[in-house]
Amino acid sequence: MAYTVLLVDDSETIREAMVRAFSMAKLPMDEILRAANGIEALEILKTRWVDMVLTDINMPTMGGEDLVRAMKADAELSDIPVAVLSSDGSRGRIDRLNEMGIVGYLRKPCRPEAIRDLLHTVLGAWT
Amino acid sequence: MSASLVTTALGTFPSILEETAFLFCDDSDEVLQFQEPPTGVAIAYDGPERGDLRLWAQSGFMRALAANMLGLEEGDPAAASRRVDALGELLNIVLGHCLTERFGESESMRMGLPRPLPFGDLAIDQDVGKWLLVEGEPVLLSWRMRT
Repeated sequence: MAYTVLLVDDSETIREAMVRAFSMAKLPMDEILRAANGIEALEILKTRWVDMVLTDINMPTMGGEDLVRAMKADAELSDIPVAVLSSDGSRGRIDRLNEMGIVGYLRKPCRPEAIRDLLHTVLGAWT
Repeated sequence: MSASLVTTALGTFPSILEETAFLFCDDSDEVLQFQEPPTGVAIAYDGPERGDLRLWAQSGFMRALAANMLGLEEGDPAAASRRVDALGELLNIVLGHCLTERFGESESMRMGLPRPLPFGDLAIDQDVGKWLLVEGEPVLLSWRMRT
């Protein structure tokens, strides 16, 4: 089984760096989809099967916290695992996201090994 | 920005830069100068205090930053095309860590998005900012308080 992951970050540099980190995870990847904000992510999620979403918080148009909220309120999207990758370290925000049901929170900068471990924890458990 | 956040920003920058892009700061108390017109980015923050953290750098530093973040050769055109984006993302990471260190994890802080600075802002930022030397390249870290 190969996985499709959606990366949501307004920084193209971070999106491409994450793709590199994903390749290090050595998980069978079908496709890595990319979105620059929450609105673009929801558009993709309406039309594509996605096994996991990894999103930034601070983005234009729709940020990561609103994206998670929208996904959890949508019966068709609420079961998709969502992890967050952000430079924000405020406890209140992390607690809110955990209460919404995210599967992980990584703080930028993070090493590729941390991305790999997260992917293995969330996706590897399904193999 | 209070004096202690200045200290925090200067203290945070080298470790973030090293972890993000494997680039290293040299100790320098000198007032440096840019050898070419630099690019500036700023991010606003809001919480117990409001302000902008601002970062100015030359193209050489920005190309190296983008290349290392992406695992590319420094001369790769893809690194050159993403240099401004990479500079903004570096500032974003530095500011996120500065705010947590300065105000604590329990404080609710808001951060804006990276935005380009007009070249005319450089003169004031040079007066109030702090210089860092990164592998021979001058980098200017500055700030503005907002009320």
